[in-house]
Amino acid sequence: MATIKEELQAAAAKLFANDEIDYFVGYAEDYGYTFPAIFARGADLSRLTFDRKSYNNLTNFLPELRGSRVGLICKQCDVRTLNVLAAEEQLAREDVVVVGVPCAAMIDPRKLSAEETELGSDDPALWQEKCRRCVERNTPFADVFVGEKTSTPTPAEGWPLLEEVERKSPEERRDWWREQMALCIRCYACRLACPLCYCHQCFVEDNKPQWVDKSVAPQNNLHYHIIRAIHLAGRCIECQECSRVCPVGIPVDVLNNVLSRDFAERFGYVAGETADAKPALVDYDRDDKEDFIL
Amino acid sequence: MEAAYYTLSEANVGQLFERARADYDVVAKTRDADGNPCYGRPAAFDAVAFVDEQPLMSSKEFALPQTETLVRYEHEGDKVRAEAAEPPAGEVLLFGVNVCDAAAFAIVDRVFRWDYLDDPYLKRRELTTQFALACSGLQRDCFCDRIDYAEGGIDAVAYSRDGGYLIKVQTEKGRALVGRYGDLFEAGPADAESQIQSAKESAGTAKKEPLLEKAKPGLEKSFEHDDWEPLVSTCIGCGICTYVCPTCHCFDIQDEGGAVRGRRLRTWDHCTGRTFTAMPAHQPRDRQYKRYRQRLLHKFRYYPERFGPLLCTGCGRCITYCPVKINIKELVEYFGGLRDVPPGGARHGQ
Repeated sequence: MATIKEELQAAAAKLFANDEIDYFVGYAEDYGYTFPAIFARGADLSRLTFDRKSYNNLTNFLPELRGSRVGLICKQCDVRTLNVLAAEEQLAREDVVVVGVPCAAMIDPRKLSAEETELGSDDPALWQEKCRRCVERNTPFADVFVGEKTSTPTPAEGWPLLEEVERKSPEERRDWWREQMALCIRCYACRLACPLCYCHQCFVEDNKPQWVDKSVAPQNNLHYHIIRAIHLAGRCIECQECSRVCPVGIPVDVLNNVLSRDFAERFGYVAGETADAKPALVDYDRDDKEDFIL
Repeated sequence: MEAAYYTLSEANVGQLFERARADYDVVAKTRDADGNPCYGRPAAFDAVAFVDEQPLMSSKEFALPQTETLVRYEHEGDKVRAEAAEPPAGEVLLFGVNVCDAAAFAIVDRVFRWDYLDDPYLKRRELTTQFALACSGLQRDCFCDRIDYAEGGIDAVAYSRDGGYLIKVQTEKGRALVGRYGDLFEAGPADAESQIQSAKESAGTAKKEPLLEKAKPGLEKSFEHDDWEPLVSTCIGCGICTYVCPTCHCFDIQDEGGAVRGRRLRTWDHCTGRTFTAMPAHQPRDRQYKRYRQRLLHKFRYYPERFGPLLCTGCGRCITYCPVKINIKELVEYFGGLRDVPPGGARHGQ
């Protein structure tokens, strides 16, 4: 039986051979890492892979490839980004061939000790945080499917960290955020790893007017993170790339989770859940809930 | 000065830290809430992590803070009063820093005293003594064995040995440090230098196949190479690699405040970012791969052409913390002509 890696390489080769795509966005393995790679026609596909370290959300590379036909590996959690990007008219869905893969949860290499290089772990303690929240491992939404369906359980833990933060008293919560924000080095990796932060000009870099002070200080850092979270209201698909890439380990997505939960509870809306839903903040329905509006 | 050798017993390391606190502002490695090593100002030796584990952030912030006020201004009636920030004062001891961090300062110094003397940076450097701790092995993604940086600028380096450390003192500041607490040190063995060399050999940190020399001819003709775009187009343009780097030193000047009072400050900036140099002029590199290429070639070609050594100490942080795991060492080898197959395989069209 072919491995998922072999199936994937065959699928990509076929898409190129049939002239269905110009680029294939996948993962390559080398020097002990698995990392995003953009393959052009004629590229060496022998290092194309999908494994337990394929955590990057590859949809982040689509805006740069706009205008080309792209094959793209999508896990179920990444697929939702495509729906939001399409709803916001940031991509032509017909230009993207979605290669759906079953995902048995991604490992967080930071949680592995030096001796633990075994990546087949089913211990959720070693997973990426987002995988503990997973509700569907086998994507039903793809143009091409590769790999055997996985039966790894979906813990569907909800938002444990958000709940923990909410249990704090207002003073404790303020102090906790201050501590987190004091760590921020303003590298903006959270913004740049976010597939939905695609603005060419970001408020944080403006000088006239200068919305956010450039000095690195807890208050300025919080200012940046809050504005960014609000720009993602009703749009964030909880891929958790922001927190994953944060070099200092700030769980940035807790801010987004508050808003995602509000949209779920108050509008019955989950960003990117369906291919045809309009973005919540540009849609209106006479049956919208109104109980939270004064 | 000629190097001098001493020994320091394990028990005297804590003594040295505690006593130095009377004379210096002592910066040492400690551990954060998650147990990760980080540079800080531990209040007692109990909290010091005198280990070779590499912290996320290098020690560069102690000479080049991420945010630094240069001038403050205030309107008084119809006059404006502007005052330069207070110059740094007081001696600083970087206690137990990694060698790759300590060696970086001598490299960055050349830029800050090149055609313009950068007062705040140079003042801090003048006041700083570095007491480095050599690693007992290569860690994670580091490749200092391939970078022929000079350790000569480091004031003193401690090499672990049974029951304590062999100390190599290389500068006047290093001599002053040992002189102040002379009773804690003993004279080193006659064969100290050969012991150090064999310790480096067994740790794997001894220099071999230096990238500067080996990759230079290839890198000189790499600018137009067709593979930059396919290999590094996954760079997302964040500042992680440059901010965790001990030798990246680009900064931005910004104003904060309003009509009544405010300040001019500098903050770290990064060539991999979309808006780099957009404020004074424009961003000349219109695609992300060109911005990544700039970072790599600045370190491995332009800086050495002007100043001699590489603008890199091989600490490997830019690999470890890269969100898309772009590997500068592998790319230098490839564009420098030291390997035929690009990292991750060929991705260009044929």
